[in-house]
Amino acid sequence: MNRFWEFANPVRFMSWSGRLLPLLMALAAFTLTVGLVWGFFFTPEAENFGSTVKIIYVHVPAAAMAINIWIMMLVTSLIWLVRRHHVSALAARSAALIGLTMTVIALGTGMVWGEPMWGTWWAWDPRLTSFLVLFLFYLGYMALWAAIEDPDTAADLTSVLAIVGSVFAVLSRYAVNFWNQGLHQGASLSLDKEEHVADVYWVPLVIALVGFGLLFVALLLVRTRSEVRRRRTHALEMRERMADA
Amino acid sequence: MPEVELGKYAFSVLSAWGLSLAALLLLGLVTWRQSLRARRALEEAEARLRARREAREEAGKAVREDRNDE
Repeated sequence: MNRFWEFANPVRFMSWSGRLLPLLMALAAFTLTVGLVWGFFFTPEAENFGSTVKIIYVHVPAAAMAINIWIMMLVTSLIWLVRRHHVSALAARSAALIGLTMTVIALGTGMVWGEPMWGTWWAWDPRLTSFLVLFLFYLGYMALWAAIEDPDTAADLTSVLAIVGSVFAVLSRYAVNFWNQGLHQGASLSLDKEEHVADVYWVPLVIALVGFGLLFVALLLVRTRSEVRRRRTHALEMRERMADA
Repeated sequence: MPEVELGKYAFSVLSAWGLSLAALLLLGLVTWRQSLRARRALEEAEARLRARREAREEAGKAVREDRNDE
């Protein structure tokens, strides 16, 4: 188990992530291209949704990622609080902008989809509302990091926010199961074959989902590496300033 | 590529896809720019530190040489 934590050492992290990144980027580009091109060009219209069913290939993966990224931030924040590994706090910080982008995509595509299907851009439906709250949590999380100068204090406070926000992340995921009075349809992907979308949409959707996941990991590694470099630069500048004093 | 008939929902489908791809592209660009900037800043800080260390070593060497001359 101790060997696992060695990967969180900044020097080792920079080494293994640098080697893994080209492969991850290539895999992400490949799966995203296959999933999205297949979904857009090679799937038929749906009986109920017409051609709007094609929105599913960007809407569902983005929504799933928005929730999962917050859960990942929760895990890395807990690691920071318990074990004080700087890379885990930096990874949580790096994930926030990606999560925010995914939430914006999910909300935006949902609104564009909702207009022709429900006749309205927005409804205070449980899933939509919990997603809006998740969006505000992402904004608050990023603002908190930006507002506090001491990085360790910022990591502590944002970790607490990540724990609180995880309630809404889980709520967003299960809102359609908890309350069925909303406009939003049930889950598109489910372990129960009866529940999820038809096979013709399901396969490209899963590939797009994997593509979004790989893209997230690749972007997360790039952003975390930048954060590690920024912190090292800050340390060197501090050393320079102390030498000057 | 086969031709895709989007019918009366063309605006909705294309705007959803356009928004998503634009957001992902923007995220990629921002990440790439921040990565370049962080790498450059670290290289500059390391170069300054190296130059400082070399200057200190040079100064030390000069002092030692002066002492030897004396």
